[in-house]
Amino acid sequence: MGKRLLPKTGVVVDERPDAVSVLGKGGTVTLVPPAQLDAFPQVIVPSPPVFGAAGRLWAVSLARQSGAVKGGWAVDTVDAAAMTWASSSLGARRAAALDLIALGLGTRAAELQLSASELTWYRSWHAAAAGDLHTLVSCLESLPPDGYAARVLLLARLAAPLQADPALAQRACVLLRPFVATSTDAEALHAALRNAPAANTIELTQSFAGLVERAGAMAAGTLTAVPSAISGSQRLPALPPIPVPALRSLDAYLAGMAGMSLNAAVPFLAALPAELLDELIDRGALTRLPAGGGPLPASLTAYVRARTEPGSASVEELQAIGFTAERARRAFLAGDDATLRELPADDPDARHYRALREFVRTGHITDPDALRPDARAVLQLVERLREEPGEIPDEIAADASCWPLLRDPALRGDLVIGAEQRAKYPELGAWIDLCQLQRLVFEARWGEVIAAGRRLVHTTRLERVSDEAQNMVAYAEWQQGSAGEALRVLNEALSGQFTNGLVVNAALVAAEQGCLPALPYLTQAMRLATDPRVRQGAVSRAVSLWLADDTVPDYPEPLALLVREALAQPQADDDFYATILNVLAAHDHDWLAKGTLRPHEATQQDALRYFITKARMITDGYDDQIEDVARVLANLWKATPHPPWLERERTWIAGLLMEVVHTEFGKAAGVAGTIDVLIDGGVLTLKEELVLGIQAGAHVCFRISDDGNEIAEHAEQQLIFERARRFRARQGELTDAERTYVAGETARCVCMAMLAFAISAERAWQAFAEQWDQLVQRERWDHQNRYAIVQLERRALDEFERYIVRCRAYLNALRDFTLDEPLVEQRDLVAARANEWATETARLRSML
Amino acid sequence: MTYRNPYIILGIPFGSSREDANVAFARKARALRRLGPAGRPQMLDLTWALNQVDEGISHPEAAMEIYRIPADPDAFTVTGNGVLAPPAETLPRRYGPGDAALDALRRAAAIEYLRYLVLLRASQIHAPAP
Repeated sequence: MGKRLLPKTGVVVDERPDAVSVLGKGGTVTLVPPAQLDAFPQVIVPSPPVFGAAGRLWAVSLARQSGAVKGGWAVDTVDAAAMTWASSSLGARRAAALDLIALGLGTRAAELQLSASELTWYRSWHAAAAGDLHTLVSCLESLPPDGYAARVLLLARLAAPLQADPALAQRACVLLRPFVATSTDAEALHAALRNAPAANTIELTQSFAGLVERAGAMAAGTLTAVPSAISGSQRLPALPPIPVPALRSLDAYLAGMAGMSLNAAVPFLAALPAELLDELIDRGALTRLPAGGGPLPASLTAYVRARTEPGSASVEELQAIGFTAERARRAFLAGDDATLRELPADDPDARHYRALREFVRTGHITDPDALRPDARAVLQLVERLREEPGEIPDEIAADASCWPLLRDPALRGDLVIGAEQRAKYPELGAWIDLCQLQRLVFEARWGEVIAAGRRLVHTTRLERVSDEAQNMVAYAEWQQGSAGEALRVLNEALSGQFTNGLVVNAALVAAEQGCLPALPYLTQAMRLATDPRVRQGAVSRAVSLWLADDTVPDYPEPLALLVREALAQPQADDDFYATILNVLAAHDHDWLAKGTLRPHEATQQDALRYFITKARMITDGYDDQIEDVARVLANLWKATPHPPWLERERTWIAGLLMEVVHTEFGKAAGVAGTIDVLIDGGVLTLKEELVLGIQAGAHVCFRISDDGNEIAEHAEQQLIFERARRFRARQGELTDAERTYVAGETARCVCMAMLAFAISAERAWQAFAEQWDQLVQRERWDHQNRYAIVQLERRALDEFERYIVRCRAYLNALRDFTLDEPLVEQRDLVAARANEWATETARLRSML
Repeated sequence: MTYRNPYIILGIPFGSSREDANVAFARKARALRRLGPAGRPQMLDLTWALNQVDEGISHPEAAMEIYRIPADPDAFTVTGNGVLAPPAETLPRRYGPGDAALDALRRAAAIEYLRYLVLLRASQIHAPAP
């Protein structure tokens, strides 16, 4: 402003045709021509919109106070100017009131000398414009109830938030009520916000739809079609794009009543009451509910389920709706007497099922009055037919649940079924025929079985019955010696659908021709079986058939494939698994030795490792020996309890070694290491340990002697004398028979080891004799070295006398044993020889 | 042939229980005893059969060396509803005619539509002058 270099901001406080008064810094007022003022740059004041000059000045003051606008003028001066403007007329006061409210200075509105109602109305108006529903409703509630009709418009414009707030909606209803009679908008909004629909709701909706349609210049029917359809109970042409559960349910109901199935539309039935659901059920439009129940309340879900699919209702649902009949039925079928007792004593449905249960338990009608009439009639017929078998009444023929009650007369052949009835109830006819056929089998009337069975096969269309008839015919043929025909009939039965029992029977008949014809059936039985015990049975049977079949010496390929296939499946029985592995180790060892098989159970890992080693022991290309098998076994033996298969393998390897060692002495020296492994591992029984230990020692002694060598003294101690001593120490733990046996074995082995050593001693004697003679010869001419020669002679004598001591140690070890005659002779020979050597060596020593 | 089937000797279906076997044995033994010495060989068979079912066959389903009669027990199993196998009970209708309920539903539906209409109407109304 002015001629200052720096701009300054002023505010216009007065305006006249020739000049405007601009208030500047320090309260200076400058008069400025309007044209000049127009040339000044304007300052934008951040403020809500205002109506009058006073409002403009108050806005400027607020902006300056908040720092949004810079200026040096006094606020009081501006306020005084504003109040002057505000007081200039009634219109100016009203505009100033609105501006004060808009600027948040509403408390000052009282200075404007307007009525309280008018100020409240302005506050309402302002709250409506700002969307402040709470303030609006509160202000409107302060106004006279039937004044300010424009309130309807304020509220109508805020219909959406009002619908969203039920508490405010109810307060708005009160505010609208005085205007319902005079304003369609008020009437519609009032009805829309009410909790309960009024009697004229449909008509009001129709008329209001017309109003909205016209006001929006919409095509006729755009909005009125729906209320018209509601009014006429017709399918709705369209649904509004907001949640309208009642409209959807009404439309679904109308569709269902028109014949449409609503099973897939249950989510749209949420608003239907039980009465209308009942009508839909009766009309067949609703026959089931989804598993989860859908949107219906729990009690209604239980009710609808019990009415449509009662079998799918839970016990809790049945209890919740008090549906005793279905609870009683389930308790009857389950034989649940406790639940039947709990049900109301005088409930007719509970009484019926209790009486029915008594009939099942006793076989007699004990409380006829409690039974439903139709059930009582049928059961009375059953009782009569059992007492006087004969023609089957139609009521029983039509009731399959009663047929098993007639099993005995059916088996006896006492029931009569006519051709007409047989045609009408083919299952009953087939069942009676099958029962009679089974009776003929039990009576071993093979010819009649074959004839009647073939007749039944030709007449029935029920494959299950036909297969069973053929099964019995095949058995009869087999019993008559026609295994081939029996197998042919069974194969015929196996051509369609069949049970595993039929396959097992075919395997049994086929096995009469040897194991090979049976193997394909057993393979099939194993594959079909879901029960692991049946699979196991098929494999066991296949193996045992082959083992019993002398005409098939080699392990047949079909059996190998069957066993391998069985092992590829999880085996629940660890012992069976090990048994089959043992078969493989013996007969399919090449395949097992590869180690490609993987156990399905951790507990089967040990067995697999053991039997692979066992297979490799006899398979080319692997270094494993029986000692390796013994080592794995001894390792597994540490863990207790021992599984049965491990016990069997222990018995096997001990028995095998027993066989091996009981041969010509010296030939089984190779298993001594294996025996040591088993002894060290504590695998053997005491008897086995003592026998195998001493046997191994004797074999080793003999082998060494046979090879022209001489057993070392410490080895002799360990292999023979220690083990003989062990027998003496522990013989008390053996039974009498075991003790006698082990004593004999020990004596024989010690004796044979002594013989082996005596042979070595004899060789040593010969060598000694030669050496002695040479020394004596030399003594004759080498007088100079006589002392040294005598020393050599003494040393030779010392060395040989050690043999005599060792011989006598054997003899001593045999002291307490009873020897067989040949062994006595051997022992005495050795004793005599030792004595000779002792006499001779004593004589020679005396000459030194 | 020498094949013997313990179940057929006893006259009971394959896989029958020990109890059934005992009952069958008692019945047949009574008849055989009436035959005197002539029935002795059959009595031996019968005793063997009972012993097999009692002791020898722990899991009939896994026994592969016995001819199965029936091979399919279900062939003798009669299925079908009836007095002793009643179908599920259906709950009778518990609620009366639906006229009043339908009227209420129609009014509730009309109200829903009216609420939609007042929303449309809100956008048609201009704010009144203060």
